[in-house]
Amino acid sequence: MMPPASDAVTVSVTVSTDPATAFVIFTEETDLWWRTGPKFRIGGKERGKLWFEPRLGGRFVEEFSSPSGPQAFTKGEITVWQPPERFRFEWRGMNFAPGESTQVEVSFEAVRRGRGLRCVTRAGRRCGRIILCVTGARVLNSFARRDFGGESR
Amino acid sequence: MAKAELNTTLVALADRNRRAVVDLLKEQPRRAGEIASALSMTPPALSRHLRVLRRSGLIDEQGVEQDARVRIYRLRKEPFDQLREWLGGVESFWTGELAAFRDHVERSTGRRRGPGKR
Repeated sequence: MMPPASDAVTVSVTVSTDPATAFVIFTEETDLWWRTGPKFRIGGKERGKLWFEPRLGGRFVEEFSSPSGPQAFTKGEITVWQPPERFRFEWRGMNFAPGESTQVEVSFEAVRRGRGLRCVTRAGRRCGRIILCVTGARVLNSFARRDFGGESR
Repeated sequence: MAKAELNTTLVALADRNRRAVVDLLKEQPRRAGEIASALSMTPPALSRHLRVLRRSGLIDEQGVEQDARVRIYRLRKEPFDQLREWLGGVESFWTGELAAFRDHVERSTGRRRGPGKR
């Protein structure tokens, strides 16, 4: 098998609503669609709450209850905010070490005709395709500076 | 330890010139001169990138009996196996989240249309 020469993963999904509405649902109803359970939320069985602060520099936060009281974990910060086309945020998984993060870019585009899917919403607008690209390129930049004599992206 | 190696791999691959070197070495092991020529890179620049790739364990070098000055560079399998495993986990996680998002969109747009209007 050929080795991957990239640190990026791209996944996509097509939804039957227009890109602008999809953008709003993605960023304002995050808690409603984000999977629940210990694998996906720090709060585990306690559902807690997840939300984006919808602005450049805004945080992606999970609030959950713990024996010592309510706690909040910042999963990342928004580094690009261009509604309704795209936004980008730094993402830290539950198992990431301090200082580790990945970049997640989410873009929303209308599904083009003639490319396999022809999809029009009830309102006559074209459906949206959400493309999500995750890159680990910036994982531990401090590590890069230490090991490679200042050479990092 | 494994995590540290993965981080080193990711940092090494963050540079597009180094990714280009890896792409070339995917085809076959090559001499430095071949790589520099294929990528239109100066020998000092290539040497810097090869050093990073070597120190991060992505490639190794081997001498040639006939000419001690010539070094052959090749990819090492282990770091790429580890990278593939990490990428697989990332892909699986976000594919699941996007599927959950799609399901939520379908449910909520259905609700917005109201019963009997689908």
